[in-house]
Amino acid sequence: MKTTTLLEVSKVNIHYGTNCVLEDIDFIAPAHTITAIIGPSGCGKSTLLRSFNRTNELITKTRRTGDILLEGREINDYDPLDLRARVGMIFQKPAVLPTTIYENVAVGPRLYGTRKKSELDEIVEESLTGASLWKELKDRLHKRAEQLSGGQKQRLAIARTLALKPEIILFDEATASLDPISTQKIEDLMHRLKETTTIIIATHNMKQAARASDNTLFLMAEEGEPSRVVEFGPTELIFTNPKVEKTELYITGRFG
Amino acid sequence: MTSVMRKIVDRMMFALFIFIAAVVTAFLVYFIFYIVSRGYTAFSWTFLSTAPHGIKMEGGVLPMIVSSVYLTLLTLLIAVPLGVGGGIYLAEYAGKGRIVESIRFAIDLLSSVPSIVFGLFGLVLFVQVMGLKYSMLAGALTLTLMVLPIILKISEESFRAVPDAYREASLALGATKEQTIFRVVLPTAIAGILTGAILAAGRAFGETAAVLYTAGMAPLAPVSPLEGGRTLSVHLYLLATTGHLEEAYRVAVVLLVIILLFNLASNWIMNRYRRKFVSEAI
Repeated sequence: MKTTTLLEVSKVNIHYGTNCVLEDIDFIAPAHTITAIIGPSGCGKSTLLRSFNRTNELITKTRRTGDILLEGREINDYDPLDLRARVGMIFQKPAVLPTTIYENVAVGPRLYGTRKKSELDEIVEESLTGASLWKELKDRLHKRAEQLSGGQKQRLAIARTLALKPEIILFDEATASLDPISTQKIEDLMHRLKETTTIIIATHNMKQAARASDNTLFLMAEEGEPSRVVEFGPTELIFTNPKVEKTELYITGRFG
Repeated sequence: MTSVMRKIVDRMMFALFIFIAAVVTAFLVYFIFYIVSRGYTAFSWTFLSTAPHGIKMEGGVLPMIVSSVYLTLLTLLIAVPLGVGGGIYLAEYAGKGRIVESIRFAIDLLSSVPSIVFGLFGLVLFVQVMGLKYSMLAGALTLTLMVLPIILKISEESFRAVPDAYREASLALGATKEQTIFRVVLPTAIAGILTGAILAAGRAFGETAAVLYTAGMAPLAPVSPLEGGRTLSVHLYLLATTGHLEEAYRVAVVLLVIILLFNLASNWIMNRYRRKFVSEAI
């Protein structure tokens, strides 16, 4: 397993209008690891995550200073569309497009100009296999995707992202609306996906962070101030032997 | 108020609402029954498949059906792209602001202009100034102005009903806004857009005043869009105002049946569409 740094975040501040929500964020995500971003609701986990593939700038007017480097290169220097293909994103509410299972996966490659049926078939099979869905769904590829269960929908969203062969996949509270068994499946999946990608998750579920991640970034804000990094380090250390008292209080559920 | 009084008032109000509902229903049933009973002979193949002849316009209504369908389709051909395009702009591109608000105000205003005013406007602009004469094209352009607000409003609302999650998912894959709109938002909103188009078609099909002075009254089936024609509703109007009431009732029956079909189609699409969104919310 390589230990090169894939994503490097340094001195990042993010503002909504004139309001600073995240300040001085530093951390690195080594290739083939899972990094969990934890912290209380509203601490900017999603905002930070979304800034990694620049989907923030599409929906709300956020402004960022500091560096976010993907393979050593500032992400603002990438074409945003290419960046989003390389840095995929899974949302809390499984976003299944109102079409067939097949089309849900093929939509990405189609956007980038893959037209040949044989190529698309191959990508769809590969991606569904990658998302542990192929066995379940291979006989109903052309059925509508809305009928899938919540967990299947979320894995379908993962397959759709995999179809673009991303280097990083961001999971934004991706299991928050799923039952424990579906959650378990997604966590197993993340673990397998580590072999080919690098994963960053935002979660308010501390048990998930403890179970699934290699490194943990704990964000928190003081009353009326922007969120800062409280602690960043190997998950094991953060959860067993935190250096900062606030971390300990938070992970043991005594506040936040 | 005592509890007895409250119960009595409650019962009375219940009875009152039943009575109102019954009156409305009875009126509708009587209305339809009356028209059908006087015009049921319209349900005959000869009537539907032949042209009128003679000074009293005996015979069939085939050219009128052709004119009405022609005019409706031509209207949709012009109005749907314009309306959907405007809906896309309002829902996906326009932010908030004075200009957008004034566009919306103009659309609302347009939808409450009496149709005779559209007819008059069409007569001056399309028939006379643009020299289209009494033609299907002049009629369709006039009707386009009239049905545009319906299509625009309904398609804007259908676009807004598309969950943002779809847009996010698409944008997060690296789709451009244009790709997101055409490949994700538009296919999702298509049922709503179709509903709008069918309502507009119903409006256009039944319109009289806006068509009378723009598409003309010639009782012939038009071929080219530059030829005029007489729609069913104009035919009905002319028959009724010249005292051919029996003929008029038969035309009314044909009109009612076709408009009923339009409504059934739009209900059917709307139900499918709603069920889909409900199943998604679960």
